[in-house]
Amino acid sequence: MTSRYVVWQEDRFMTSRVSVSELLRDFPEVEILRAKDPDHAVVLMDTQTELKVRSEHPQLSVEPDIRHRMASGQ
Amino acid sequence: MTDHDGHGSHCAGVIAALEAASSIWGYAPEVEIYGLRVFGGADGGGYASDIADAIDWAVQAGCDIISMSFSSEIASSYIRSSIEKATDAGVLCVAAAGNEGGPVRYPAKFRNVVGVSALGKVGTFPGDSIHGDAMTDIRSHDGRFFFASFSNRGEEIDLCAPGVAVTSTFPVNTFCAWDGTSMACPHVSGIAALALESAPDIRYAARDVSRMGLLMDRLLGLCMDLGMPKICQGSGLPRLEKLFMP
Repeated sequence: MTSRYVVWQEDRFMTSRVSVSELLRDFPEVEILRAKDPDHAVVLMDTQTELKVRSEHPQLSVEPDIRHRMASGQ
Repeated sequence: MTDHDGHGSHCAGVIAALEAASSIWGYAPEVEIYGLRVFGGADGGGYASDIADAIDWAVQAGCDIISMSFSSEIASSYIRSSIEKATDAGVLCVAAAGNEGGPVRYPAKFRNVVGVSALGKVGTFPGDSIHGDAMTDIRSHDGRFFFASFSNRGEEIDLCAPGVAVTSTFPVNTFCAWDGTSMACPHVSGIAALALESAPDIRYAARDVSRMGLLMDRLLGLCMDLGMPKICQGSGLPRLEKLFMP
């Protein structure tokens, strides 16, 4: 089952200037929902792929796209 | 922009409403306010990626204060990174503690965010109304205020503010009274806006982390100690009238 993730790279890893989207091209099972700039992408992938991405690109930060709730009751 | 659930309109009204006929006033009616939608869509939204983008946008747009009436049990380092950039740019980030009656949630729990808990004021709503469910025995020295039962609490609470039976704007062209730390959060944001407006030395200071610290210090200086436990009230209730005292 796929879930939303945020994948990004910090400035200090930007020396190669390879975008996150390009790095993720090696994983055809990853669906890129949006990439606001070369260093950030919101993607759909499963947990196995998440582990592969983390393993092959340790410079990338990978995190579930955590959902928040409005803090009000009516 | 259409507000489908009214949450944003209600929060914005606490900050900036101007409705003399209904005696509904926000703290800072002249403030320039931007509503950034992070909830909605087919699945309800609220994703960390959307929130981080909104924070980044607000910083780029030159906003001074970011009011965040939402929460999550799990910390997002993606949001934390955006908040750190905002702080470095001198932006004050204010967040609701959450409504689970338990520990403070994120982003209010992050170190550089102003965490806000909710209070009620005795006698400001019918005793048999749903708002009465929020009453607790945790009271202020004078008995006028109570800590709201639903409000999260903990060492990360910086300030407390009204969050029970808060009357504010609601679409379309009406008003309603809501409960929540969502409602308490914009109280603090509104007072922070006035505090900034009344302090040119802070307002025109270089936009860096020290500017945010100065504004936070000014906000803390407005607080009244209610005598509640610190995990409930933080430094206390910011009082508008203290802004105008010599």
